Amino acid sequence: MGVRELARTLLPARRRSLDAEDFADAVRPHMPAMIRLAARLGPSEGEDDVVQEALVRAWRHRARFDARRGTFGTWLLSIVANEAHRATARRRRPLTIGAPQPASSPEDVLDLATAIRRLAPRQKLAVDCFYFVGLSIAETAAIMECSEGTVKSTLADARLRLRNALGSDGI
Amino acid sequence: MSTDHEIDIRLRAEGARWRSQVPIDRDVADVRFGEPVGGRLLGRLVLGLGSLGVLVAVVAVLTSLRLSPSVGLSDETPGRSQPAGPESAATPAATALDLNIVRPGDAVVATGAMAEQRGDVYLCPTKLLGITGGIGCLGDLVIVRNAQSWRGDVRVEGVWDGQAIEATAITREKVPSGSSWPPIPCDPPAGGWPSLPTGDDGESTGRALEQEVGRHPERYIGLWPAATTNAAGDVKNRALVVGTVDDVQSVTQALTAIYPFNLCVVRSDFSAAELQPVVDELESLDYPWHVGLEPRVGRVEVWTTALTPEMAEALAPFSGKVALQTALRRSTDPETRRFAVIHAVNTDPVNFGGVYLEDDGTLVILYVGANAGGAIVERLASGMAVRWEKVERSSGELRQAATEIRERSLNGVTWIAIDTIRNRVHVGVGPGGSVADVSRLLAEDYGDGVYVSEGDVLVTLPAMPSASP
Repeated sequence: MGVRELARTLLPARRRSLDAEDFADAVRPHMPAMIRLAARLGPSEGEDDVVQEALVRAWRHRARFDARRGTFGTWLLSIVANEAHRATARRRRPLTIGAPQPASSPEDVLDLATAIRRLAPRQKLAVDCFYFVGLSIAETAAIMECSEGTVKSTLADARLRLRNALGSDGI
Repeated sequence: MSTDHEIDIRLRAEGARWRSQVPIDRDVADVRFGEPVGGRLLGRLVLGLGSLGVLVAVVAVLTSLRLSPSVGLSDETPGRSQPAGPESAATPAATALDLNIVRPGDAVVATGAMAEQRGDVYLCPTKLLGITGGIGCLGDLVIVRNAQSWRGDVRVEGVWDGQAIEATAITREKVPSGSSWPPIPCDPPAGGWPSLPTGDDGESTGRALEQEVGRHPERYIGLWPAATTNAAGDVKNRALVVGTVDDVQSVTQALTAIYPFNLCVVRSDFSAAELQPVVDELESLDYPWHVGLEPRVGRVEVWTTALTPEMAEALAPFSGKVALQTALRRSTDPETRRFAVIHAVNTDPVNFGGVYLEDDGTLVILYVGANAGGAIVERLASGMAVRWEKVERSSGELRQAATEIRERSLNGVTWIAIDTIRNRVHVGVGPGGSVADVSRLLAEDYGDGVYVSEGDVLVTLPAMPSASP
C-alpha cells in the first residue's frame, strides 16, 4: 500500500487522489514527534529546518512509502532522523579533525546530560528516541533500522554505561 | 551504585522534562513566515497565510507542476531528463548552466499561484494549498511587486532584484495539476497490464525486488512505482519500474524471476553508485537548493529558486549527472527585457543620466564619466537595439538640482521637470514671472544644466510595460 492508498484510508473520501493537502493531513498527527525528534537529533535551534526539509523529502518520495515495511509515522520519523543527522553534519563541517575527546574517568563528576552525550552513537540515538522524544520501541527500531530486540538491548547497554559513568553521586 | 531501574526512571523523568520544554504547538507554517527568498530553500518551505495553526506540509509538486522544465546540464547525456527551457535547449553543459543563471536585475519569468498576506503579494512557484485556517505554499516564495490585483495561477514576467520580482506583465496561466504518479515507461504486455498481486505473494516478491535493487547500486539507479491514469487522474494500472545501467533485456529476465508481475525495466545512464556521491557532495555545500537522486529522471535533481553564478560553478563539475530545476528563468520577452534595462538605468542615478526610447524602438542609454555601470546594463541589453550616449550630468545630479530649484520658490516658476533627452532641468515660468530673471539666477549655479522657458514642457518618460491585469 502506498501513501496514496494510506491517505485514502486515513482521510475522508472527499478527494479521489492524493494531493499535497491529503499529504499534509496525513502528516499532521505526526508533527509533534517529528519536531521533537528534529530538536533532539538535529542541530541546535534547527528543528524547523530539519522538519521542513524532511517534509519535502517525504513528499517527493511519497510513492516509495511501503506500508508493509512500517507505518506512515515511522517512515516520516526515519526521514526526519536522516535529515537531522545530515543537518548536524553540515553544521559540524567547519570543525577540524583533532584528537578524540578524552574518555570519561571514574573521577569525573557527570551530570546526566553529559553522560548521555558520551554514550556510543547508537546508544545515544536509542536513548534520545525512546526516552527523550518519547517514541515507542517499534518507532525507535524503525529509525535505527534494527529489530525491536536490538533496541531493547541497546537501551540496556546505555543504561549500564550511564550507571557506570554517573555512579551513585550522579543519581 | 544506582540500579538499572533507577536509571530508567531518571531517564524517563529527564525525557519528560525535556519534552515539556520543546514547543510543538506552534505552526511550522508560521516559523519562517514572510522571509523572502535568499536563505536555504527548505528553510522557507512553507508560508502560512492563515492566522491560526496551520500545518502545511509539503511540497513539491515541484517536480512536474510549476518549476521550469528540468534542465540537463550536459549535452552528452540527454537521457530521460525533461527538455530544456527555451533559453537552454540544445546547449552544451557550460552554456546551459550560464543561461540558467539569474542575477539581480535580470528579466525573469516564473509561473505559479499568487497570494496576498499582510499587504505583500507572493508567488508560490509550486503549489498553493488550501488548508484549515488559511493557505500555504510549498517551496520557495517569491515576493512580487506591482501585482496587487492579481490572485490565482499566473505567469509573471518581471525584473528580479535578488529578493523580489518587479512585475512588468502578468497573464493568467492555469497549470494542469497532472497526476501524482509517473507514467509507466514501458509498453504494456499483450493483453495490457494485469492487476498487481495482493497478499503475501505481492509483499514478498515486491520486497525481494527492492532488496535486489538496493543490493546492487552499481547496477541499478533505483526502483519506483509508476501508473497509467485516466483523464481524471485515477490510476488504471500500476507497475514497478527499475532503471539499470546493464542490458535491459537480460536484467528484465533476471528480475522477472524475482518479481513476475508488472515489471518495467528501463535503461539508465547512471547507477545509484555513480550518483550518490554527487548527492552527498552537493548536499554538503551550503547553497539554497534541494538535492536528491531521482531514479525517474535518471539524474541528481537540484531544485532552487534562482541559480546564482556561485551555484552554477559548484554544479559544473557534475554536469551530465545533474538535472536542474529553477523557479525563475531568464525571460526572453522583449518588453520584459527592455524593462529590465530601463530599471537598471533608472536605479543607478550615479552612473547614468537616464534612458529613453526612440521611435524605432532603440533604447538610448545616457551614461556619465567612464560608464562604470555599463557592464551590467550591457549584459541585460544583449541583443537589443541600444545606443550609448555620454552626457554631462547624472540623473541623480539632475534630480538634486530640480529639488534645490523647487526649494528656492523663485517668483513665477510654475513647474520643474527633468528633460532626460537634453540632460538638463527644464523650468517653466508662468504669468507674473520673468524668464530672463529666473534664467539669470539659475545660470549662476547650474550653467547650461538648467533651461528656462514659457510654454509647454518637453519631458521624456521611458516607455514602461504595463503589468495591469
